[in-house]
Amino acid sequence: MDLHIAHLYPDLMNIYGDRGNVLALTQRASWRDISVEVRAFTAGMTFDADWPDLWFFGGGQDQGQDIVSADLVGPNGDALRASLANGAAALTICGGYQLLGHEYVPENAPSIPGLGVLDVRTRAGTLRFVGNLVAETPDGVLVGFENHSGRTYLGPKAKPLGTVVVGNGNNGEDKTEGAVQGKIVGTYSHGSCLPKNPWLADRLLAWALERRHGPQKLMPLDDREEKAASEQAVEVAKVRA
Amino acid sequence: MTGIRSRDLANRLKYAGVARDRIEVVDQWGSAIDRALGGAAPGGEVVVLATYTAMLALRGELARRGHVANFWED
Repeated sequence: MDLHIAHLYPDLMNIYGDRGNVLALTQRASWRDISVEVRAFTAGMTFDADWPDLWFFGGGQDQGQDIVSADLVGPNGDALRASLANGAAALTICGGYQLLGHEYVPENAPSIPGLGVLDVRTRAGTLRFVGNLVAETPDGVLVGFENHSGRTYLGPKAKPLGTVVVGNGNNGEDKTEGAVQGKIVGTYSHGSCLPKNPWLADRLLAWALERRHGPQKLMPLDDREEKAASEQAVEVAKVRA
Repeated sequence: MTGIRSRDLANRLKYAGVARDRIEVVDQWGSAIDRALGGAAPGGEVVVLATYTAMLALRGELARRGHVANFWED
């Protein structure tokens, strides 16, 4: 079986090691004899909405985010929206998560429109949330490292990915972390996220495979290193908060 | 691999394609130093890749053993 992963704006949104999520997806697929092709989709290109089964969109610096949000207002944003409407899955982190929502409202500047495929809104906060992040989810613990000043609030169509145990998550107020809407996942968890949260990696892989090959049962993997990494990270987070 | 992110590092190497039996996690600086020295040939070299914080802790252990001077004495 084969699988197509589109890495959105890897040249502009590439801090915090979020690229590790693409490596994790690729490895977990290849350990199951699924061959993955990864392509960069970035500003200046014309996006092919049919090609990706899974989109990955990581966090970036403000300068990168300005270029990206301008590109998404045009035909590339339409292509991404069409692809997601046609069953492609997406993992979005931090800045990528914010840009898939309705808008990002800076402190003293006009609102920046997002893609609007996640029912979330983000406004700039004054205090930056930097630190370990642990959330409980129905499928397992989510552990990572957050680094954002945006405050994200969920609308009724988006469900929280998890409930915050350590750290701030979406906004530091309502204990929610991340969002899920259809096959789109948003989270503030850097780290990279997926190597320590293999249940999330596998959920995304299953969704992506379903688009290309119909419903698939994923072969279980021996995740003892992932489990040990998660447990240690949770322990460190609880001690250091 | 040692330190507070040792399992994370071991997992990182797994995803880089390093074989499981070549990855070893050892808790405590002293035990990790012993294990690394035990795996090196006599007169050989041990390479340590560390964060700055971990390097100071490791160096502290080496100083306690009399292998190096404390860094403020260099």
